[in-house]
Amino acid sequence: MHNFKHVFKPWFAWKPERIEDYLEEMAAEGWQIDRVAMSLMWYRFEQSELQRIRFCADYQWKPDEEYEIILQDDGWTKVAQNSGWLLWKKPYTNERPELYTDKQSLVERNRKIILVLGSSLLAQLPAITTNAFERLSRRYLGVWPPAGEIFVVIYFLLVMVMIYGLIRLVMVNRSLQAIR
Amino acid sequence: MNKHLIEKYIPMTETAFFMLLSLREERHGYGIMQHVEEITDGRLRIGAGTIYGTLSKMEADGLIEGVREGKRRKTYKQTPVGKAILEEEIIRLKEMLWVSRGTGGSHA
Repeated sequence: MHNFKHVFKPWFAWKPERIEDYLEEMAAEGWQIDRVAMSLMWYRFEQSELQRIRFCADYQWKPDEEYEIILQDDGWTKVAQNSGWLLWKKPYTNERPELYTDKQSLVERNRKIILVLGSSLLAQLPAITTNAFERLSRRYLGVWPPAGEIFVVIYFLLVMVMIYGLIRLVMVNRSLQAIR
Repeated sequence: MNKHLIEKYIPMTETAFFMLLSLREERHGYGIMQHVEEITDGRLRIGAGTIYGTLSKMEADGLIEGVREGKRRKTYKQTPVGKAILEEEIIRLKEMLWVSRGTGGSHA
């Protein structure tokens, strides 16, 4: 008899600990990851024995073979991968393992995410501006199609989340560098 | 020597110092982790993500060079530039030690 559990767990680039700690708690309660989908946010767990596992979400522009070899040599197993994000796990008994043990490489890793997030945000600029002009002209011409409303709202929220994420990441890096 | 590299690497982080030091001999990524742990009596365990990131950076800056032979793991070794940077850092460390001991010999 298989006992499954489906969970949608959103998390953001500036706080991967949210998903890392959650998955560790699940493993400690005996829930093993069975399937991952939706940008590492949807999980199917299967009930099994209790385990102590450290999970780490990492970001790489182009994860090359060398990167994976070094992590595997150190006992990490790749759980899933999606658009630059990689989820790794490693069972442990005493000391909780970490992928990054110094601030400098963590700051550099975060910089990569900032760059990617920043450039995709810049790519949105033409869409945002043309959309705004279209809205305004329609408003003053008296046309107001309600069908497009939801799309605009979702789009606006998405862009806001990206801007917020960018600010959060810059702040995380600042605080990492301040206590060097 | 390249002034930009000196500014970038000196003073050196403990991680960079021990990694560069262990690359006096040719080693692969995981070999560096093990060696550093060994020479620091188990005190310093460098994470695999940190190892990979630091190796990529040092290779791009010409402090180390990587060799890949067929299907075997990529190995790395100090370059003359890397050696010079490490020596520069050792001079700095020696000076700190010297000063802290008291140059006049009036302190224990």
